[in-house]
Amino acid sequence: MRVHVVCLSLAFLVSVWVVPGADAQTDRTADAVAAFEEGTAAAGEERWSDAIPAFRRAYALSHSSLALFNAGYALRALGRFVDARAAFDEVIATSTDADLIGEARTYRDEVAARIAQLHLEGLAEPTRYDVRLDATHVEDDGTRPLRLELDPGAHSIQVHLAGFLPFDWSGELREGAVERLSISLAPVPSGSTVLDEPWFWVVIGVVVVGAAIAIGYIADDAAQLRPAGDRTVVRL
Amino acid sequence: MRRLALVVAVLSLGGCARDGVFDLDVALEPDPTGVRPWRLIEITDIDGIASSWDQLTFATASTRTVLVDDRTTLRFSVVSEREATEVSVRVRYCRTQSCSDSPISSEPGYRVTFQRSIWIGRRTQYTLVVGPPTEESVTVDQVCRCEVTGCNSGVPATPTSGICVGTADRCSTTATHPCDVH
Repeated sequence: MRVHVVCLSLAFLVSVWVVPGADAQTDRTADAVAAFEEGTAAAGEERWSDAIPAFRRAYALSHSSLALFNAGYALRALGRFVDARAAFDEVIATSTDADLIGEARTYRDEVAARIAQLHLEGLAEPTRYDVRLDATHVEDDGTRPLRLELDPGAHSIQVHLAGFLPFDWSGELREGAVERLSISLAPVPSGSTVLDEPWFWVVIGVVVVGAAIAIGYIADDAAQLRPAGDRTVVRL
Repeated sequence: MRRLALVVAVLSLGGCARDGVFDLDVALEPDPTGVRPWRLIEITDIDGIASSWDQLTFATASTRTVLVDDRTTLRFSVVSEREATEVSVRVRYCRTQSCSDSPISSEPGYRVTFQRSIWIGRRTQYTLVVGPPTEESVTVDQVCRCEVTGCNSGVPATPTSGICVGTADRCSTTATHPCDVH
């Protein structure tokens, strides 16, 4: 990759420096080249987190597909496959360099296969839910099951709907995994419940004390829990 | 004599019980197509995250059963002395009794993790309903701590209803489960 980046950086320099223009354009081009070189240096040292913003800045200033390709490559190196695929897709759509497009296609297909999918099942079709992926809102477009694409790693899902208790899930997804998550929302208990009544707790207290006494009389060997006789015992 | 027995029992309940028992009923629905009639139920307390289910060791228990027409309920008592760990259950839908006809990663299955089901010195209960296999997919589910019911003190008895108070979130660790009240 290091050689590849250097080669592309030379091509980038050539492609942007040959563009003539006014002073403002020249400054913009110089900034783009500086950003590209910064990204190239970072990539050469495998400092991918530094390389990504530099290449993105170079792309924003120059619209060079080379800069975007390198941003995609750095995103791929960090395991950010969803963003990497988007970058390669844009290279394929906008570049006029056949070789670069071919290479972008190869990487695009590779990272696409490594993206994990989480299918949220059990959501009602006409309803729109407040879905949050890693605490970030995700649009519920009504597709059922709702398919989310994620980079591999640890994630959390929260599903909210007015009048229902929120659904929470957290877990880790492998590269290319397709997992199905069954969503079921329980309605929020309405208004005052029996739990708010003092007499309820008095009754519960009497029952608990009575039960404790009864248990003591009935089971004088209750020091150890004993599985019920008709059950398969699983000792963990 | 009976009073002495009572004192011994109460003291024992408070200080000697080192296990928690989780009575788990697994209600299994048959495969209407008949392609995968066998079920293999595996239980572990190794933290079950979605990515590593296939690598988990379920050496502690496995029960095979074949389903024909009707729903079948298998009854387990999961006993553990570690109350903080999650209990995970994997149900495999198999074509044969040995379940060796296809790799786990490519067969349909049902996987559920209990956020909290074991309380030392207590007995809890949950009924898990596992539907028929759907295509070649794996269903991943979670049962929150407040959905686990019952909190008896040691002798098998009729489970009481689990009532969590303190929050509306069934998964919240700040909710007070009956088993949290000692």
